Amino acid sequence: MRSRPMRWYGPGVSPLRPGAIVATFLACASVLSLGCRAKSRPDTRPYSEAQRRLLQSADPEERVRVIEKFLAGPAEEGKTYVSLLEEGALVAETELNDPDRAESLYRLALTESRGSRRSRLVELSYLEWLGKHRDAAFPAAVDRLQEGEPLEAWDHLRISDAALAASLWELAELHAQQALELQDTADIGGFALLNIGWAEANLGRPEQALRSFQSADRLLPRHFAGLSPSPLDLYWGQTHLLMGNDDAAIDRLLPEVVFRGNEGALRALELAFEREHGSAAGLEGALSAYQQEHAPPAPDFTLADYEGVSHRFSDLVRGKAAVLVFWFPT
Amino acid sequence: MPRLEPLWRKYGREGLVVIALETTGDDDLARRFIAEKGLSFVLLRQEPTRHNVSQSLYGVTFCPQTFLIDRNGRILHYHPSYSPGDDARIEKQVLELLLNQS
Repeated sequence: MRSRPMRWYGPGVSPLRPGAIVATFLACASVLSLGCRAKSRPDTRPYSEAQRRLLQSADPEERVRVIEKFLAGPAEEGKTYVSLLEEGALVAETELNDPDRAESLYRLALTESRGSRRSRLVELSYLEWLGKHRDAAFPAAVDRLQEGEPLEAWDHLRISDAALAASLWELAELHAQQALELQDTADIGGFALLNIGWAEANLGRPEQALRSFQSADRLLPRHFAGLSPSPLDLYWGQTHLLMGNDDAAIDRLLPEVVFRGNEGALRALELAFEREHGSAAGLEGALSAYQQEHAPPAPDFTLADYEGVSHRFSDLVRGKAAVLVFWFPT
Repeated sequence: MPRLEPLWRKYGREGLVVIALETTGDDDLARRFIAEKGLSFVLLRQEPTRHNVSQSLYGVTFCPQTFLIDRNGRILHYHPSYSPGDDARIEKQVLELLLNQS
């Protein structure tokens, strides 16, 4: 069974804020979808062995070596493989400050995966890496991807996302259009329209972009405090800013800054605020007023810990400041 | 996630509570991780279904995601990923939450 790829990017990820987040999300998405499967298999799998060794070592050089060995070994298909590949590349880049080492991991994985079913996943992952680095090899890598089996809607969407990260707007628009033509779910359509809109805004067609964002908004969900799980409001707000609609830009960007601390949104918001009010001096006040007015209550629940003791969330946090983190072991 | 351990040790006595909810339901791996990292804050588990707490109540479909909650139980900050520099941001926000007694 081919599981549906999860949306890998988070709201903070945009061409304004490239970095390690995309790779982190990819690793997360892959590991999340693995949860059940990993449990029912014996622990001698190369993936489990590699994970165990990674848990035991905090040394980045050692971690990258463990992953190299895993990538070159008799590894399994698919997402486990790609999730460790991306983790290795992330460690090489952010902890060893060695992007060449990261790229060599991708090249190793491409060679080891040639002709196997996971080859497409590895190629897409490599493409995302090239996009983040605005690498000149990006268009040729897209061509190679299109030579194989026909791409699915999600594949086109990932190519489009990577092209946005590389500021290759025409390519981003083209692949989002192709995703839209092949779409089979509302969220594919929503994400495709979102990318089309941001490409349009950057290609000097902001009026069209606003229409695309409106259509995307009808298809994508909104969660906590009305936030979109996608960069919709960030792109939308920045498009308003481009058009000189400063008050509309402020409306879109305020919640992104207040509840998410999104730095791309903050830079855009400062600019909009300055143009609208003559100075950014009142921004801090506007941010805390918005927060006081719109902060939602944390939903209550009861769950057990690892000793089987049941805890009610509202009892744990009553009168206290709390950090609630949703995590997976990696 | 293990980065929250020093934060909790530093501010636990000042009225901070740290709660981590593992999202995949892979208890074996989670237990190993918790022991390996020596985590001592509140660690909860859930079943990996579509209707669990993380997805149905908090709309969490990818990890890690961090919510910061004030003394009145309101979500004041939200980090929908981990990016470099978040530790410092989270510590600053936690301090604000702790200083606000109301």
